[in-house]
Amino acid sequence: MLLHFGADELYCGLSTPEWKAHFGDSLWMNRRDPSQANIFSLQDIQNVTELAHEHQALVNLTLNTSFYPRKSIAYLSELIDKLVNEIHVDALIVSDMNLLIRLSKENLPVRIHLSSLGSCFNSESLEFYMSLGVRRIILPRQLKLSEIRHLISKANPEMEFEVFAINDGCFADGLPNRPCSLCCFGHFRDWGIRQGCQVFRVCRIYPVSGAA
Amino acid sequence: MGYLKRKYPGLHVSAGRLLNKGFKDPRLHRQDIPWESEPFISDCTFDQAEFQEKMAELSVTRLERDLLPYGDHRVKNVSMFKTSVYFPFGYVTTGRVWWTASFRQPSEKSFMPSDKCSRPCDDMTFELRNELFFLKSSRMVIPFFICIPCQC
Repeated sequence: MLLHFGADELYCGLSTPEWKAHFGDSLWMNRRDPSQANIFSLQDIQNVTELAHEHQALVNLTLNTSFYPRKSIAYLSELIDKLVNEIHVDALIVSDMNLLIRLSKENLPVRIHLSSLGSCFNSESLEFYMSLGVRRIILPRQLKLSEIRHLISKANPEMEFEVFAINDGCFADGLPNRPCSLCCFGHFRDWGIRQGCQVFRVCRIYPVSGAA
Repeated sequence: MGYLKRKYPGLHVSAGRLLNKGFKDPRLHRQDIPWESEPFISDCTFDQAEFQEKMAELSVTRLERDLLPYGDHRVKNVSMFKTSVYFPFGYVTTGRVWWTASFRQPSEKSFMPSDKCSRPCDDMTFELRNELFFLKSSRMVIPFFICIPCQC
């Protein structure tokens, strides 16, 4: 369906039975619960990738956990070799620093995208990540449009950028008496529960269109 | 760090503890950590060779770290860097309670954090010891740093 309606990049996660056997349920391969929003076999990833490539679309795979223990990086290295050299996924989305450094040394024929969790907030970080072979920065959600514009103006023209638009905007927005995600956390928690989304709408603080 | 190295080449730079990722999520309960995860929960970014090599390239001389709340939280400084230990604790966790995390959940559980802080820091004490010196402290209101020399 996504390809039919013109998606030119697909974003997906993988959670293999081998990972579960080695590392249990508590250590995730990516930022999604293994029971949700993941593909569970290399064969399925291969099918998705072949179908996407038939439609000239790219497949970007998330390995975006903030931290992978040493043994899991060893497992991931073998897995990545298959994903890149046999299945031909187009990009890996990464945030763990040790995995990034490892990938930069291996010089694999795959694009490396820095996850929004990589916290690239300034031009010095841009240069650092570029030195590690990163080709695209997925910008942190906290940046305003004016900051994004400034950052891009300082960047090497070969660097690509990706932004989330309305990501984490609340599914419950508009429903009565339902706190939104941001309202449930930290300093906003009490506000959210006490006052409800209809009053504060903190997820709407940041502009997503128009002049910043 | 790149900027500091370039602008102030003689400056001694420490890598801050926010760069040190590990299992610090205070929503975890110690008794709920499965046995198969035990070998992993004491690991952290700073203990891996790739990170240490990169920090050396950036002229970093000291790593500042928290005590990890689960597993073996002793600081065994075997790296080329000096180490600062931050005590007490400042764990931050992020999570996602938005759409995908609410799949299959009844409406009263949708968009709600999965668990509360288990206050792991309340149960920890800080100990510093060698042949000549011993210091033990429970959780304090005012943070302090302990600096440990490198082993090289």
